[in-house]
Amino acid sequence: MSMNPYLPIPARIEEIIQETTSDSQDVKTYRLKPKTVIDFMPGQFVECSVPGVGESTFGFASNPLVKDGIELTIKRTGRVTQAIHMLSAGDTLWIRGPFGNGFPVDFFEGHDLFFVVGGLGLAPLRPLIEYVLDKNNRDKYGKINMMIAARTPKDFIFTYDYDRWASCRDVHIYQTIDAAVPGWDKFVGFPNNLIKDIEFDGQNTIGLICGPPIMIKLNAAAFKSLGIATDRIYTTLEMRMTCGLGKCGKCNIGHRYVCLDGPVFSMKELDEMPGEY
Amino acid sequence: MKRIKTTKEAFNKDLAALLDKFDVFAPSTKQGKLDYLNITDPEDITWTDDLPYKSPKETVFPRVEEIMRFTKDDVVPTANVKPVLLLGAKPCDIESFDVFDGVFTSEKGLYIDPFYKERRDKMLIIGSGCAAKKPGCFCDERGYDMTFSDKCDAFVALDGDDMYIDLITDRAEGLFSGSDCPPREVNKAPETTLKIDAHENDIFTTMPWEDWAMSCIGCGTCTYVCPTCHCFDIRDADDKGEVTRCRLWDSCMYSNFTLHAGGTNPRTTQAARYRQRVMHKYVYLRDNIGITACTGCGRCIRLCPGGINIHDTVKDIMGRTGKK
Repeated sequence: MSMNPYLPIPARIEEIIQETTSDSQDVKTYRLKPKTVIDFMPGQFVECSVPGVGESTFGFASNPLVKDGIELTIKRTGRVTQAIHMLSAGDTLWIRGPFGNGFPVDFFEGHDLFFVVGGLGLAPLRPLIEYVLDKNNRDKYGKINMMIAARTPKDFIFTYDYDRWASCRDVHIYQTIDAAVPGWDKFVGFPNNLIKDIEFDGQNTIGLICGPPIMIKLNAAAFKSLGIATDRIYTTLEMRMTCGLGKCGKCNIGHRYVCLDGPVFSMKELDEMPGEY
Repeated sequence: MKRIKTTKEAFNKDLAALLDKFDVFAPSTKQGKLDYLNITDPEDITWTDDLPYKSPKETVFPRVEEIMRFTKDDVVPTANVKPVLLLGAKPCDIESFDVFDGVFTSEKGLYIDPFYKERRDKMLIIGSGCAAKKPGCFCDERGYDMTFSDKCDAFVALDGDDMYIDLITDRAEGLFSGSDCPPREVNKAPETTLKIDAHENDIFTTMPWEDWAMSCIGCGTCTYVCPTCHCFDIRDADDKGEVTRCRLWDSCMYSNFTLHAGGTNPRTTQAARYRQRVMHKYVYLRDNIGITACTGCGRCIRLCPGGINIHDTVKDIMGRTGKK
C-alpha cells in the first residue's frame, strides 16, 4: 500500500458476473485487476470508489491465494453502488487497502467449521471458504458445514461455486429460503431454527456467521445453545465507515473501531462491548 | 525557558515580517464575533481576554480540505499549503492539539494521517493566557492552567504597550526581537477533578441519556465549535470532469452519521448520539490514546441551543459511578 493510506490505485474491471436474478436484489461480482497486487487475508476489506461519486467499503469476496486479481461482490443499494453498477468491463474502479484484521485462520486450525450466512453475507466469508478448501490448507481443518440462507431461490450468490466446494473432502452445503415456493426441495426457514438438525461436534467447531445484525444475534445464540463457546463463534460486522483507518469516528462500537479492531470479532469480544451494532 | 520583553509596536513589526512565510491566524473580530481568523495585518489582532467563539482546529484541520485530484490513470495528493502560525491560542485550545496528534499521528493507531501531519509539523503556535474564567469554562477542573501552557513554541503576554514573550521551543528563537528579562513564574497546574474512571459498559446503558439529551435538536453546533471534535467525511467534487476528493467535518450529532446504505442505523436516537459524543471524549479516547478529549473551553455549553451541558453530564456520571 502507498505510504499515504488515503490514495487509491486504479483497478480495471475484467469481468462482471450477475449473481442474483430476483427483482428486489441486484447483486453483481466485479473481477478486478489492480494496478499493483493487493495481498489480503480472509475477512479484510477495501475502500472502493468511483471518482466524482464517492467511496464505499466492501469486503474482499475472492480467494486470497489468487494473486492476479480480486473480486468484490456488490449489491446496488446507495449512491456509490448505483454508480458501480453502471460500469462495464474495461472500466476502472479505484481501490485502497487492505484494511481490517481478518479471520484468525491459524487459531481455526484443527477445528471443524460451520458457516451460517444470509444473502450477501456469503461474500465476505468466501475468501475464508476458498482459503480453507485450498489443497495446501484443507488438511489443517476438519469437517465443514455451510448453511446458506437467502430470501428466495433467486437470491443465492456464488451458486456456480457450490458443486466445486461440495466436491472437497467432508464439505456439506445446505440451502434454505425464507418461505416455501413450488419446486424447492431444500430447507425452508431461518438458519437459527435449522442448525440443530445438522450433525456437528459443538466442542470442536468454529461457528462463523455473517448476515444482518438480527441474524448474527439469533445464530450466535443458537450456536451457543448447541455447545459452541463464544470464543469460537465468529462474525464479521458491517458499519458505515469513511477512512478505514480508525480516524473518521464513524464505525466505533465502544472504544473499538470496526475498521481497525474488526471487522472480524468473536462473540466473546462482542459480548464484552456495548451493544451498538 | 527564556523570556524577552519588547513593545507591541516592535512585536507587530516582527510579526508583519512573518506574514510572507506563514498563514497567520489570530484572535480577530469580524461581524462582532471574536474568532481565530487568517490575518494579513497585525493591527487586525483583537487583544482581549475573551475566548474566540470557535476553536482554532481549522488551522490544521480545515472544514473542507482538498486531499487529492484524479487524473486519467493516476491520483495526485494535493500539495500542502503555507505553514500556519497560530497566534494567541488559549491554553485550552493548545491542549486540543494533543488530542488531534493522538488520533492522527499517534503510534498507537496503525496509520499516520499524512495530510494532518504535514500541516501540524510545519505549524508554529504562540499561546496567550486567560486572566479570568468565562461563563461555562471549566479548564481548571480538567487540570489545565488557564494562565499558561508550554505545549507551544512561544507564549505572549501584553501589558499596556509592553509585550512579554516566553520562548519555549527552538523554533521560536530569533522570530522576535527584545531584551532578556527574568523568566515567567509558572503556576502549578490545578488537579484534574472532572474525569470519568468507569468502564464503558458501566455507563453505556445505565445512565439517563434520554433525559440528558432531551433538548438536543441534532444541530451539530457542539461538534463544530469543539476544539477536539475531529470526525470527518470524504466527498468527491466533480467540476466538469475535474474530480477532486475532499475531507469535510462531519458530526456524530447527525442522524445519518452512522446510517448504512442498506438502511440499518446502529444509532437511531438523539440520546444515543449524545452518548457517543460524551463517551468518545471521556471514555473511548481515554482508553485509546490515553487522553480525555475535553479541554473545558465551554464552547459547546455556551452555544448549545438546547442548553445541554457536558460538564453537568460528566459530573452526574461521576456521582452515579461513585466518584464525587
